[in-house]
Amino acid sequence: MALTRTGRTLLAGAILFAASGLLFGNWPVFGAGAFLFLVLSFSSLARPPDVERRVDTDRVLRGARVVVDVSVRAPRGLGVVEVHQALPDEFALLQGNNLHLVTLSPFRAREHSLRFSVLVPKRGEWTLPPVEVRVQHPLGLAETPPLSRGEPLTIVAEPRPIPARIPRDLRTRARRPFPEGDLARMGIATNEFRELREYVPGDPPRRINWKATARAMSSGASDVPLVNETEWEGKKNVYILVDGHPRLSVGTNLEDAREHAADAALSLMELYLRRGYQVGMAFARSGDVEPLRPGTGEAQVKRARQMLARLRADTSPGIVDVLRRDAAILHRQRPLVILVTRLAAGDDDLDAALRRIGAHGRQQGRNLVPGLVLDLETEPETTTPERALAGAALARERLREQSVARAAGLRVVSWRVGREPLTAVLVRGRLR
Amino acid sequence: MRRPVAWGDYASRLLSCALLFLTGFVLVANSPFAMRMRNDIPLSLWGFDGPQSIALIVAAVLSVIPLLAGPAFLGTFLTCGWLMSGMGAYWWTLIPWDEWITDSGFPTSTPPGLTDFILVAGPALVATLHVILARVSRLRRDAKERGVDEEETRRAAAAAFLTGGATLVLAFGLAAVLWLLLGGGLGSVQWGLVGLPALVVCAAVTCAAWAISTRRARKLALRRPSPDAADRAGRARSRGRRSPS
Repeated sequence: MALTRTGRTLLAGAILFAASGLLFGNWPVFGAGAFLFLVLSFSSLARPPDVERRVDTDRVLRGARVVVDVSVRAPRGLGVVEVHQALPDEFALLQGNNLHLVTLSPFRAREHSLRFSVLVPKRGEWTLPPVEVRVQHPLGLAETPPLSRGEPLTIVAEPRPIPARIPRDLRTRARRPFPEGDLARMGIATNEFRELREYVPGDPPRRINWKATARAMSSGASDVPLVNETEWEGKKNVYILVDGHPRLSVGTNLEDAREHAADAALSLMELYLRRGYQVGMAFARSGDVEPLRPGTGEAQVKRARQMLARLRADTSPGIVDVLRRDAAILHRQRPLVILVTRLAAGDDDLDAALRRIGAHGRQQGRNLVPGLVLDLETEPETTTPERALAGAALARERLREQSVARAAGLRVVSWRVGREPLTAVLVRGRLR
Repeated sequence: MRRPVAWGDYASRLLSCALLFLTGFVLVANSPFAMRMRNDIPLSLWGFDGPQSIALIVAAVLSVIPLLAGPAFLGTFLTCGWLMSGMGAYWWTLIPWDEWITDSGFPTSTPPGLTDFILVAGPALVATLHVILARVSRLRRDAKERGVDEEETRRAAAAAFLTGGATLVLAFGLAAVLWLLLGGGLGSVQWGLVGLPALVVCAAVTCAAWAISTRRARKLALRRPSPDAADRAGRARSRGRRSPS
């Protein structure tokens, strides 16, 4: 227990009165000091309560809410107890209050149940510190140091996948960035049946499914033969490389390009997994995080979510370092490499990485599995002339870097974050 | 949003200074301090005689000074109150000033009664009243500023006011017993407690009251989380959060 400023002043006054009374043998003055001492002696009649905290879940999707229950068992006493659950800056209080004043009763102990809910708008691992309890004495003459109740609690906010689908149609040239409908230019067709589709010139006649064609023609559903489409070996693997460069911090403290990059990476992973691909993931410039080797199934999505929750801004390891580290995966499985980043000029590591990814897709001079760059456009809105100027400058830089990527043999798709859904990007990509 | 203001605190300052002025005037006017100067400064204000006019001026000046002190109001108030109490009560001293100061004309004092004790302790009483009122007002202001629910704020302010009032009454009651003892009424007549022994007894009673009331709080304050838990909590606070960006 320590005296507050008021308490210290009152104590100094008490000493002044009492000491001068004693010094001069003046009882009335000493009596005034004694009165102040008596008042001060009543300043410490509050007791700290027991506090218990619970949250409804410690693992949520970005943008979800978490309900926090704080149970306070206030003992008998005088005064007020301040119960405060500090929240990370990025959390938003939705309902209730994370700061309460519990009044102690001198006659009986009471139990208070305090509940509030918070919005977790940003992905990551967030720590809720212990509940802070501060006993405020009745007259504010003394205070106890804040007491921490409970243990720190970690809440993991995972990226929220964006619903994304690519409409299927007939095969086209492999110029479109998302290859689920493309014919691979490498590898061989497997025996794994994928779908029936209409015959197009160039299809081998042995692929025609005569029974299905007869049924379709007799019912009038189609007037051309149907062929069996099978999965292709050469496009079974996708390697998503997410860039965590500080450049992706553009945006607000609640929502920046890195959040969208994580969401997009997870959405692409789910999309390709639904199509039967083996999808792996790695981070660059986001600290030392082990890569997720290509795999399939729900477990892979779960692992990717946990991994994406750790995506953060850093400068190492560089993209080239990551590509070197994962050379075995890239060489053995020959995956489609998708780099999710925000392009900008003057980034040597990015330039070198683009050239390396481009080289990876080429074999004997032919661009077999051209890599893909998903470029996040998060430029400021052009509300003022200055902003428009800045936006134009950034756009020029981005276009220059896009040309570098294209020169390296990569395909570039821009996603205007917040202005169009991810599905629009997928559709636009395939129509190019 | 407009920032809440502790109007009660400021109103309490004005009230306290008004009360200090009244107490100080009565103390100084009835004290030989002013009477000794009646020949030196023949002064008359609003029909008051010389000593009363001096008491009026002294009380007025010393009552206004705390209002100018800003955040150091309470300290200045207590100092001014102490000065007024000293001027009003200095003649009830055990020190033989008459013998030390030749031809001082020091008036013979009468032993202080309970009323005199209350009057001398007046500034201290007023200061305590201000502490209570200001506490309630500031508690409301702080709670509003930090976004505490209105109902909780009201309840806490009411509890602080009631507790403060009870404290004032209780402390006054205990002090009154002490003053009766010190005043030679009960102490000297019943138990022959006068002089230094009475002073020692009074000091012992005050210290005992302090010790008893704070014993429990000290014991509770020591009941902290284990060092490990405190360390972990400290680390968590210092780490704050592990932000992804």
